Amino acid sequence: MGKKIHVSTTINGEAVEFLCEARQSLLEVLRDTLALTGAKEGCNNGNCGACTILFNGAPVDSCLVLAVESEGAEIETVESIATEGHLHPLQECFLEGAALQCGICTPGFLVSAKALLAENPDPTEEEIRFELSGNLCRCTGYDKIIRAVQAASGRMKEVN
Amino acid sequence: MATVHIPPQMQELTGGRAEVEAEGVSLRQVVSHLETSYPGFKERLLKDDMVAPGLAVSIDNVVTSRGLFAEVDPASVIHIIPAISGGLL
Amino acid sequence: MADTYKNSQVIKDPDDNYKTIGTRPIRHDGVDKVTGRAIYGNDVKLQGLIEGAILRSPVAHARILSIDTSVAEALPGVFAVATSADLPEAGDKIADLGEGPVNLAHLSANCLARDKVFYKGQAVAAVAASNVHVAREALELIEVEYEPLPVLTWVLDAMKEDAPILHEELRTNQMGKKGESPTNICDHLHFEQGDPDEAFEKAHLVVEKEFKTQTVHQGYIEPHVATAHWNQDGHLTIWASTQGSFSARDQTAETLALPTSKVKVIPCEIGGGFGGKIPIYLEPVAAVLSKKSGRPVKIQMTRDGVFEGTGPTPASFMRVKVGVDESGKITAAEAWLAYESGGFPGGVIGPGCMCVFSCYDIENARVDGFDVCVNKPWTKAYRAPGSTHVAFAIESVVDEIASRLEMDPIELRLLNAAKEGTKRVDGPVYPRIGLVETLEAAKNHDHYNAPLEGPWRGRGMASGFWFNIGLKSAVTAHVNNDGTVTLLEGSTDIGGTRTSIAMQLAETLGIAAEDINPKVADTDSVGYTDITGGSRVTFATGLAAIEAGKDIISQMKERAARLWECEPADVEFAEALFSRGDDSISFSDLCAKLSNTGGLITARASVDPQGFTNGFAVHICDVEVDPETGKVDILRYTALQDAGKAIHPSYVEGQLQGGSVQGIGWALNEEYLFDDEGKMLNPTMLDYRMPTALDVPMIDTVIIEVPNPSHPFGVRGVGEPPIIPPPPAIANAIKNATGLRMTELPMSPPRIFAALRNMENGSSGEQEL
Ligand code: FES
Ligand code: FES
Repeated sequence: MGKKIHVSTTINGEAVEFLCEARQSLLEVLRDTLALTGAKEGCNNGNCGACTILFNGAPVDSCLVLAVESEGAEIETVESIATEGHLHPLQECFLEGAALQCGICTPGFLVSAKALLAENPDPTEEEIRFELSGNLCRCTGYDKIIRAVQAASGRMKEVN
Repeated sequence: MATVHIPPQMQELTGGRAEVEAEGVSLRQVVSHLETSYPGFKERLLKDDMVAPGLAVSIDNVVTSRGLFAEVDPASVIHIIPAISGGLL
Repeated sequence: MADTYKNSQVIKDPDDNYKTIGTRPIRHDGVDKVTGRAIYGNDVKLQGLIEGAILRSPVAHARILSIDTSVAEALPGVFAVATSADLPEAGDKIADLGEGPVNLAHLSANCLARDKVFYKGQAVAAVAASNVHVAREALELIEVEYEPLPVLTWVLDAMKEDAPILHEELRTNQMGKKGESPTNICDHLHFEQGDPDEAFEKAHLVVEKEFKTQTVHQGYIEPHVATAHWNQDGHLTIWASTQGSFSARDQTAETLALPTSKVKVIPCEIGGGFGGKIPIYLEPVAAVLSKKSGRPVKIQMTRDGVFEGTGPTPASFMRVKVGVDESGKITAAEAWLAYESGGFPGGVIGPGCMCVFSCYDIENARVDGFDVCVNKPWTKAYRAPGSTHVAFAIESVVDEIASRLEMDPIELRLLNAAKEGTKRVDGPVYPRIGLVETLEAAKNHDHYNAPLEGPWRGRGMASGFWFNIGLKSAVTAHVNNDGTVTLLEGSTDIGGTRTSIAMQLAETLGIAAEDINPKVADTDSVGYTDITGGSRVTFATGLAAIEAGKDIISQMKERAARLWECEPADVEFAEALFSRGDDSISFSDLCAKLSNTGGLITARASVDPQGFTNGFAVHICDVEVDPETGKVDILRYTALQDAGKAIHPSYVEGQLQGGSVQGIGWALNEEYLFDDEGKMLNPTMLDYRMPTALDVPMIDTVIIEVPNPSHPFGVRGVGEPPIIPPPPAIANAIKNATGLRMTELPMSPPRIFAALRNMENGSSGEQEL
């Protein structure tokens, strides 16, 4: 098992230090050590996207990142999407458009969609489907998720 | 008298009859009545004094969850059907 | 967000004028779920919590000769190891645990195998350790000696006279009559009405086909997870991800031989179930590990554990034969159905037999159904269990008849549609149902009438039926002095039912949905409630909420009467206003006066509605087949369904869309692949290929409201029917596009490619099974 390793990162804008074992995934440390349980575990091997976080701005499956690899990284999780007591337009549109049923996939979709809209503020349906195809949802059939992302894109343009 | 529809697999008990009549204000009475006319009926339909697991009873086209306590009236039509609960959900 | 609903349509019952029902409020648990704060099963944190892992059988059929856990127990960090020796002997008891009869010995052996394993992946032992990594290391140190036995992986093989036997004690059950000799056939069901033989002889046209489907998983994104704490006072608490907290409590209590009062289940948020989270797998195991270690223990399944160790829906073989007269009227029908029940008896053949002809009015019919043990996971419910299989068969045959008679497939179905008064092949007669209305809506829908051009493109349609059950539900409502109501309910909320139940209470009280605060309570805090399943919650728990609402009104009338010094019977209530003559007081103002007119009010209701609510779905789909690869693209898809009354239309649409996409996955890609040894070859979400956002189009919906007479607002269940029509609708569209009649699911690229090649080489266009 060996000794624990010391890691310094930035998580949701705050400097965070933690100890982990070499074999622990970032998902595990976020959830178990740091109590950030917003990222979910659906498969633990990179197939479902429920654990999606932003790693230096890019969406990644945190179950595939070793915690030690996050030394010096900037990490954002679903917990940081709402700010100062306000929901993000994506969150509002997911709620208004009933884009979640059981909700287990929702954190992953929100993080992926946020990254998508940062890259491409006005994506087509096809682009949204492509960019979100790494996130599985078994409940909604995707229809309302795609529409919620479209609606959020519209709302964010209005604000800007 | 209530009309009881007997599924093909139980018709050996009723001498091949698909439809029989029985009296009673509750399923319990109907079953006792059937037992008198067709001995062996009770053993087949009940287990531990309840409708046997795997079987269900529909009274006037409504599957009942009240078992032997279900109410029956003289014009009732009763069907014995498989319980679908095992996989219903 | 008007845009959001542009592909959905609600065909309303013209008589309704509800205030809250039919609107689209934000769900009560919504903010927690979009901010990551909602507590799902794996988010439970407890003092001293340790983690467990399950050792699963590497072989599909074997006798267990010995299990040695001593080395594992000695590993530093290991707190406890459990095997079936730690579970009480269950005997041959059948218990009704609120969701149908369960053989306790089988339930227990499926949690931890006793002397035999019946499928690869069956749980054999478990470890609790300081963390999951240590627990998994310890699993590797457990020595199990297996004596391999012959493996059966296909239903027809297991039915052969000389097949190896899984359960020596098993005898075929024929509606209560037991067979004489050992067998793998657990159940044989047989229904008959009229004289099918004679009717076939006289028929103008008879079509008969054989069909095959493969094992398919519910595919919920959240793996099974359970946390147990066996307190020193003998009370067991379980934090569960379950479709039924009371059912989980009762199943756990029975397997541990504890009185139910000693077990409390706290339902967590649940990450999808679709039928698969009704049975228990982990709860008793975590419980004994907790008892042995003195610590709370959490076990979460791995994804391959979910695929291999939980209950998928069966593979099947079906033969369906239908005869019609010249006009297209169905005069005779026959079905022979064999479903796999998996490693233990008790699959979903019952509903299969009862659903196969349920969309039609047929005078002469015969159904034989067989439930058969094989060395695969123990099959369990998956959304309308058993109905999708038979719909694939019957709806394909009916389509074939329509094309041979050169009739429109919807016209043919309308001519034969089941309606009020139609006698089902299993006996009972339908009450008011909405199949005809749903078919009419499909016939008139723009999709059905739009031109579809281009080579390799085709359109298909199909219908489907599901019972939709009632069962028991209870709620407790506390009226607060600020005009709001706290609503405790026992139905776990998988898709927004807190809100659809709260809306029914709000409608009853004339207040806003936001003024109801719905909570899913644990098994010690609310009355007995059956599972979330069978498309029952909005219907039955909704009924309980309405009843509780009526109780609130009558109690509040007494308070108003006290204010006005009159008789409660003189007080009227309408639109959230209590009145008597010129006196009136609003619901919320009266709430403020409760405290000093006798104290705050609690109301409760517990219901057990009888019978089914009978749901019908009709789907239309356009496909394009790529002849080079065999891949099928869905170009357009429309799901129509009779919802009785849509309480929250967005979540009804969501059920239609989600169910359709699960059905599309089943139709086109999803299947367990097994080798000859019964080993699943694709137990990951990459290789077990569920639809992604890129695989499907928008799913257009039409909600038809034909009110259910047994619910005050007319609600029917909606969750299950939408998974049923997609496989046949797509098969019929493929036939229309290519001339190829696919008779095996999934209609995956390799199968379509091979069938197209066969057809080119002169075979009939019939897929070979
Ligand atoms: S848990 Fe990381 S992708 Fe599924
Ligand atoms: S809402 Fe359940 S998996 Fe997406």
